[in-house]
Amino acid sequence: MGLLDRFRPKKQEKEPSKEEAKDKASSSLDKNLKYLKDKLKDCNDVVYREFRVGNRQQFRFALVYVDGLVDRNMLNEEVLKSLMLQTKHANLSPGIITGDVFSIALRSGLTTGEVKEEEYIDKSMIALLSGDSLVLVDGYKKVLVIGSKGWPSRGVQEPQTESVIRGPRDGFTETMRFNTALLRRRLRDPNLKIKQIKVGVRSKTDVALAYMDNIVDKNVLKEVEKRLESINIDGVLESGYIESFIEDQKYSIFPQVQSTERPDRVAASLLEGRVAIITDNTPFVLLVPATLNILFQSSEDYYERWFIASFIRILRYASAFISLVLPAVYIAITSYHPGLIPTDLALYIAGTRTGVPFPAFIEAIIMELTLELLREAGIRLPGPIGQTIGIVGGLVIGQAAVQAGLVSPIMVIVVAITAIASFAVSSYSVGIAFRILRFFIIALSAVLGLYGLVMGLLLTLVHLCSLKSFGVPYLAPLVGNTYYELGDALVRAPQTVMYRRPKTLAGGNMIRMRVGGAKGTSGGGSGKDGDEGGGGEAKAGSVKAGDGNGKGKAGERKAGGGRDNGQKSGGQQEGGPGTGE
Amino acid sequence: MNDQEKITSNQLMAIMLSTIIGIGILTLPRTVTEAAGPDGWMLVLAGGVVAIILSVVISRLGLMFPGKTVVEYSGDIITKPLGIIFSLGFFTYYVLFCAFEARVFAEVTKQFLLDRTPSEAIIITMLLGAAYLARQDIATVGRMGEMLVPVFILPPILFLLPGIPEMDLTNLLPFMRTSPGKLLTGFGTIVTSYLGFEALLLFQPFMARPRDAAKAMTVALISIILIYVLAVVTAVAMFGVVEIQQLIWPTFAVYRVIEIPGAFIENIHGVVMAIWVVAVYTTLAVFFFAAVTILGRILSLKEHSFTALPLALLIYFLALVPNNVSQVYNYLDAFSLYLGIPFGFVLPAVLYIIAKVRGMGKEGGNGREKQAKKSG
Repeated sequence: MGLLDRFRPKKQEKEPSKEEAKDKASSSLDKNLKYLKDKLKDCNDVVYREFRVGNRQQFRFALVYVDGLVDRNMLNEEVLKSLMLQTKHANLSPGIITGDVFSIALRSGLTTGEVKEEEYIDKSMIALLSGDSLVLVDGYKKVLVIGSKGWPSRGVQEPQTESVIRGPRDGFTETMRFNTALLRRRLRDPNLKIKQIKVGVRSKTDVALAYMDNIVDKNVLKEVEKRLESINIDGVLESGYIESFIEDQKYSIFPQVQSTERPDRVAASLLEGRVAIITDNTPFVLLVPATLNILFQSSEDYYERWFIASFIRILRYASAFISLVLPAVYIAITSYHPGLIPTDLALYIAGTRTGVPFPAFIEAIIMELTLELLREAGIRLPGPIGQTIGIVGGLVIGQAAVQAGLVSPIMVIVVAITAIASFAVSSYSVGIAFRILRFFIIALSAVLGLYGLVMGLLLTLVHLCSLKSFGVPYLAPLVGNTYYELGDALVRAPQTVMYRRPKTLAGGNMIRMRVGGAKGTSGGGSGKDGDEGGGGEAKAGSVKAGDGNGKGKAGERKAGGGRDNGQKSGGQQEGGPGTGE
Repeated sequence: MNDQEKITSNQLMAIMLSTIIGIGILTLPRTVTEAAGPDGWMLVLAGGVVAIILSVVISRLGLMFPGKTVVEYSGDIITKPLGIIFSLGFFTYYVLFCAFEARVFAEVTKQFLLDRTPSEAIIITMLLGAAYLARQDIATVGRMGEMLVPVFILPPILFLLPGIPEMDLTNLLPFMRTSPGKLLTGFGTIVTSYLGFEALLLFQPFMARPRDAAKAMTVALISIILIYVLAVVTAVAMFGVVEIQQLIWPTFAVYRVIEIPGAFIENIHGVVMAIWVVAVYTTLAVFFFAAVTILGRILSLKEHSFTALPLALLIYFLALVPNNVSQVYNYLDAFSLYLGIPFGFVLPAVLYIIAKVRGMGKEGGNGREKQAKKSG
């Protein structure tokens, strides 16, 4: 590790953002304009528009914006028009108006929503470069920053990488504001905090931390903030940059941060107490902490009925396991332990392998590599050609190689099953991790048979056990004292069973829903449900006592939540935190 | 080391289950029937009870010195130089244990899985794999145990079910006919199959609630007693007292006989072998971890991980010392007698008595209280 430290950037190398800061705006319009024009020399996309305001044209104003980043209609209508035309008829002589023209412009001149005063001209320049416009007034030491961001952007579309059968179709886009709006639409709760910081010395990318204030684990939140602040990089072009700086173990093959394009997934994660990191210019939102179990989940799991969801989830885990071990098992059994399988099958496999010039290991490596090649080639090529690659690959792998006697047909089947299984893993990056590990396990089992295979799996497991993501063990809830969370691990238990938030993730407000209370009072519910509800209630009470915030919220929710949770009795609704928190 | 992540009592339980069950279970049915004929399973029971008592003693000892492992508190109890000698002996004990474990594993693997692979290859891969775990922290070991215990305990028990028709429980008769003297001599060998529980001397300070150690140990050891008794009873019921003594590894022989009806797998023993690899790995890795931890603590190292690889090399050469299987088992018997029993059973008790006599430890009273609560 010491060797690698040399390649890490040194902390003191560059921090221009700090030394550059705090140039105060001057009271002279010309000086301010000169400052901007000096700094933004050869930046031809910056537009300067000087104009005069007032019935006697006595006030000098200037509007500065970056062409293409701003909504020009809005600037015309609400800044230029309202300042230039409407003030013409007003009598602005000193005796009549109170206060200075600057605050009048701020108070009543500009008919736009988002206006800020800014003392420092360099800070306002950053705002200018992020799409805001500046209004400079002669004789005043402040700059008006008008929120006028409006650039051509992709609309909300269906996410490409995480499509679902059942579930919302909207996905995140490259514009961060849209993304936070998509979250806010789902969680109309004052506890949803969206904290914005800038990362990247040159790119000054907006990065927002989203979390539920009374659910999130404060230690995790602090750790995330700490790690984000420690990032010192010139530019952040995608959330992957941030991921590589905040992940716990850089030298691991497994992703320790989840990335998603789906707002519903982020909303659900926030309700579990996790922290979302929304980065501008990318539709991929990061979610921490991430466990292997979480990476195996799909948002659809919670929309389907639990039985189906559980089946699919087991299938997913099984497919990951198959994609990891199947070729290795085949190699181990054919080359070392043919006695383990029925004699007929062993003889048949041996028969198909007669004439194949390679040992099973080489055969497997050839086929696996071909498959990886085809996959990669298919991704990079445009659609129609990609399909051609698929057909060619299918023919090459499926037919020609077998007919030429280079590989055995069983090997083709094994590789095909492996490929299908590896695509069934819901997270792309986890799928890739398993695909790479597969080669390692193939090699071990080629050398040491079944023993090598088991050793390979054990080493993988040791690594997985040693991983942590923001203090949460990577294998939670399979390990640690969190057994009630197993309802949301290999299977997905009915929602009513999962009435508590995951202890490994959430920091407070543990009760997620009221279960069985209404049923119990109406007398129709089964005894078991009633019991669970009782347990939940007791818990909710204790949570409430410890958490004044939660108590206030419960009352608040009652009015709004009454409709959503119509079947629940009002009295009990009061007793504990409602569904939404 | 204090900021290290702690383990839960369930994790301690899992570590103990996976540590104690290792190579011993393979020969257990033979050794107990040699010692006590059909009454062997009672010896297993008695050995387990002794192990439970000793582990309770160890946990009380640990409670007297909160936050300290045996390496530190042995110095407190029997003066520093003697404590270091004791710790070095303990270290040697674990290193040798690892060597035996690796060697026996190689022999069994050669016999059942990889007949043409040299032992050296099997031993070195096993040791490197164990070294990888020994380099991690205790929490990783705990999680590892939690993940693996169900894997290597449940399937072998389930695989026994189809073998029930093959078993003849009358083989366990006559009941209680062994002379007490014979039972007593056999007891010494049987009790060593529970070795591994003394790792609590090291692991207790790493627990989130060290107070729960005794309880966790008791549950773990009771489970192990049940598993051992099951192994002995099935083997004796299947082969009879006479035949069993001809088998080197009777526990595996059981699975050679069993055929799973309608299953895809022809020979279940191959699968059981693969699962047993897991059991051995966990045992070896935990002992390895213990050795590395002791060494790190004797030398007061901040980071123990770098001693793992040199140690692996040492263990490798030690494992290759015996010439053949019978020699391995001769050495192993001597090892259990001269190191296993002292370090597992005698010395912890001696330490406890000395500590009590010297009136050390502030938490002793609480420990007793807890004990009383549990029995009441």
